[in-house]
Amino acid sequence: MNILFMLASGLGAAVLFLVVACFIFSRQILLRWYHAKKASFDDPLYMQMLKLAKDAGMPVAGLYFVESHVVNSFSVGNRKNGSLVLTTGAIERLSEEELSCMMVYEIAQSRGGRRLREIAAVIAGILTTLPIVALWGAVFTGFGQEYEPAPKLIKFFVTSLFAPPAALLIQITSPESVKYEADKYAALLCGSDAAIEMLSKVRDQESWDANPSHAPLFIANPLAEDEIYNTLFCTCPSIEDRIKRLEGAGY
Amino acid sequence: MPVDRRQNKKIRGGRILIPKWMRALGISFVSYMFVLFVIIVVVTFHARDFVFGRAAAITAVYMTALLIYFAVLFVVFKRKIDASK
Repeated sequence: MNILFMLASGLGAAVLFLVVACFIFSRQILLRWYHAKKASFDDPLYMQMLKLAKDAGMPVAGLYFVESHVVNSFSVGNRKNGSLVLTTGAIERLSEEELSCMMVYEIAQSRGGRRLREIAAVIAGILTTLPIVALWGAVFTGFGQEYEPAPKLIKFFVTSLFAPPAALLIQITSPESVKYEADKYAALLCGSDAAIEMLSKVRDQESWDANPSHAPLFIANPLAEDEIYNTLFCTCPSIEDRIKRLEGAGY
Repeated sequence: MPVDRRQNKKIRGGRILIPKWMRALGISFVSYMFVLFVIIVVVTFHARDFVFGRAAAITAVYMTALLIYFAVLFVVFKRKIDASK
């Protein structure tokens, strides 16, 4: 009984420590997670972002880049200390207007104050990393190579245990109305044509192997739809619906 | 695609199409049942005796908690995922 009590209290303390750490360092954890590199102060995109942030009337702490061929972006931090993260694919494939639109969208997201969503994404992100830990644990304990059935089955089993609570956490902390509001804001500042073009380019791209728990942070769902457990993390409204709303509103 | 409105489930070629998120929850339910099996095995080995009453009690408590948990999951996912499509 004493051992059980010690185990329970140890687990409780670890969870408490994790939640407090996520609460304080969620922004830094997410930036490190994707190996985001900070843009220099003389970068033209940084200048452009500062101008857009000034137009939107809110301070932005920094602009970061993530190495990825897909067109996507996310923002971290709160109203006072927000950071925008753009993929290199977005910088290469979007026009200047569309990129401005994407940045305004992310500024609007930070404006909404999404601290809770960010913390939930980090905690759920740790849960959805456990299957990968299990896969490599199985590989290193002699169950076979990572492409063989046994480690894959172990990974799938651990996913089936931890994906539902992680997805529940994500779903209850991610209201989809935030996306519509940010779309509206981007269309108001950059014009609905640029916003629609930008969303179309985000839609017409391949999936990204991002952590499923981080999907609601992105401008659009980056996950592959053929993975059965990815559907649980789908919080973004469909891009078709978002485009229809923008076309209907005629900003 | 014909839709059975009474049951609100999509039907194709005489087969009912279950949404992916429901299938994912079904697989998870089976996985959690496997955890119950492991718990009973561990308890039995620890006590070095299989007592049916004890295994039944563990199963009853575990299944009650599991059913409540999955009911919550089902309601939340149905509202959120179906609404976003």
